[in-house]
Amino acid sequence: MRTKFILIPIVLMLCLSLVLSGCSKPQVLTKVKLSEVTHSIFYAPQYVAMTQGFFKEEGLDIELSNGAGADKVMTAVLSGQADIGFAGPEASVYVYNQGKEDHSVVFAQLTTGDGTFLMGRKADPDFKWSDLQGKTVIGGRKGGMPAIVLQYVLSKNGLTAGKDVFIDTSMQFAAMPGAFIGGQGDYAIIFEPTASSMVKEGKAYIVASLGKESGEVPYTAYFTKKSSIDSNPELLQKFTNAIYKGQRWVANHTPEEIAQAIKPQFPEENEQVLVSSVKHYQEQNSWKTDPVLSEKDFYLLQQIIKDAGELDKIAPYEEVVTKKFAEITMKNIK
Amino acid sequence: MFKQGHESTPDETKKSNLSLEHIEYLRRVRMEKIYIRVIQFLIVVFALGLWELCANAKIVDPFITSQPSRVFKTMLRLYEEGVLFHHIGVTCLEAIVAFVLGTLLGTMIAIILWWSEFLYKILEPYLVVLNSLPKIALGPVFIVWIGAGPSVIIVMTLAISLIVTTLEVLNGFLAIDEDKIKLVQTFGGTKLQVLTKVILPASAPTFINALKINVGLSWVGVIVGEFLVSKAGLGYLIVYGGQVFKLDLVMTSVIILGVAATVMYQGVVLLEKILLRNKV
Repeated sequence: MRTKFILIPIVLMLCLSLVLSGCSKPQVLTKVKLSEVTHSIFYAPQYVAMTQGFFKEEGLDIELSNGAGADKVMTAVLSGQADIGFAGPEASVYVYNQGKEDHSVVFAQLTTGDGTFLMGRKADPDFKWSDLQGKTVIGGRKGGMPAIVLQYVLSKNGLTAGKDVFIDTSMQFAAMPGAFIGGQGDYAIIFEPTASSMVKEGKAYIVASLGKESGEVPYTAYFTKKSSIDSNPELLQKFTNAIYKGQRWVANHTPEEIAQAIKPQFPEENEQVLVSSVKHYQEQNSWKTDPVLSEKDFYLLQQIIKDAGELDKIAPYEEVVTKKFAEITMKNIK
Repeated sequence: MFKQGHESTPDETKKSNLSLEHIEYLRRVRMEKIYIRVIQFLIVVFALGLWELCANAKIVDPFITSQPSRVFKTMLRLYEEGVLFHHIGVTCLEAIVAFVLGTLLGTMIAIILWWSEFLYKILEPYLVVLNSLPKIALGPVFIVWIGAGPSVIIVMTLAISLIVTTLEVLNGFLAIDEDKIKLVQTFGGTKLQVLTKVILPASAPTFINALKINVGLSWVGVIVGEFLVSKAGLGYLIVYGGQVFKLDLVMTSVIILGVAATVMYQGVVLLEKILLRNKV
């Protein structure tokens, strides 16, 4: 007799759960494979867009992968392994100049100015760029943005790379922090949060910011194949919308709030390191407040690369960049 | 059968001490060698031609795969800049040094392990583990230990080739006919005499095999090392070419690499002929 009474509420609960599950709308999100050049707090607005649900609002599910280098990100995009690539615009210029037909087109810019920090072995509050005379700086890869911008900053301060300062470009990107700590070179240029991490361990000190010296050179931006621009404009518009929302969120929140928001993307990093990294980038206005990559900045970028001897001809803005998605998103998202 | 070939006179046959059938057979062997070489050459020509045509017709994307004409132009440009032989020389030197070191060290370690069976039994599991470790992942660690320079490349190559060489040579030693060893021992031979009079001479074929394996691994190691740290060399060109999307440079370096590695391998084959000819 008693068991029958227990059955009734159980059956009622089961029916209720069935009804409720039928009521919720299944969310169909479009998967977007995004390859980023490296995983850095330099790209905070993107991670904010992921963790604060801006991509989800636009119906997109981002599958993020670390390309570990602009060349690998570009390869992933050109071969179809990634839908959208996130790296320096110079990669798209190189590809266009080499004559590829379905070349990549840049459609949204996230960061402006260099994102690396000059690290030395001792704290140096009175650091002057002339201190680098006769020294060796571990600068990433030859032909990569960090090394090119370093050369530009050095020349702005009257130092010639190769003569006054030796830029060591022999090492693989992943090996640089370890090599510097191990005693290689006098200085190194490092992204965040690795830079603050090294400071926290007492292994190195940030002596200067390349971003403050570099001017507004477009450093990292989103690109995809030209054919994708023509065939998937709605998807790219939604993507740009989400990025713009991320940019505006970051512009309106404190470093502590931003650090909290991006924490899930940097699970092994100490909170202090996160906040300090965010502060560094925010102070130097690394994060654009809109995704438009302007002609002026695009040609500045190419001039810098040309001066470094890595570019033979200047690529036309109309071929390699499009600002239509960025302009529409600024009009629609208020 | 012997009616098809050239008819040799009874005098000829007597002089060369070979029968008619034997002469015919030698001729066929020679012809077969010529046919094989000609076909190998034609395959290369055909493949290059097909590659060029497909690239011109855009069946394959010449941006990614390059094409023979662009590769040739790149090689010419490198030559004109005076850096072609510098890069080839650097990589070849690294490969030869690593190869020689790997072979010598591998053989010495194999001798030590053969000498002391006790030591071998202790070290065997460690050798297996070390062999399976992905040394490529340890690259950045090597740089911290050794400093970023050409020595890292040599160390990386040794890490990849040493244990395989050691085990290969050691197994060759252990496979020598027990009876031969017993023979020397019954004549009162010391362990050293067993080593120099039986083991080393008898393991010449195994040694050659180990060399052939070592050539391939040395080239892999050198290129991996150059990807990690380098200021010059074919691996450096591949990295740089990839960085600025000059994929012609990448393809050119790969092809030169293939040729250089083949030349080194043929060197070992030549050594094999010399060593084994003396044996017989």
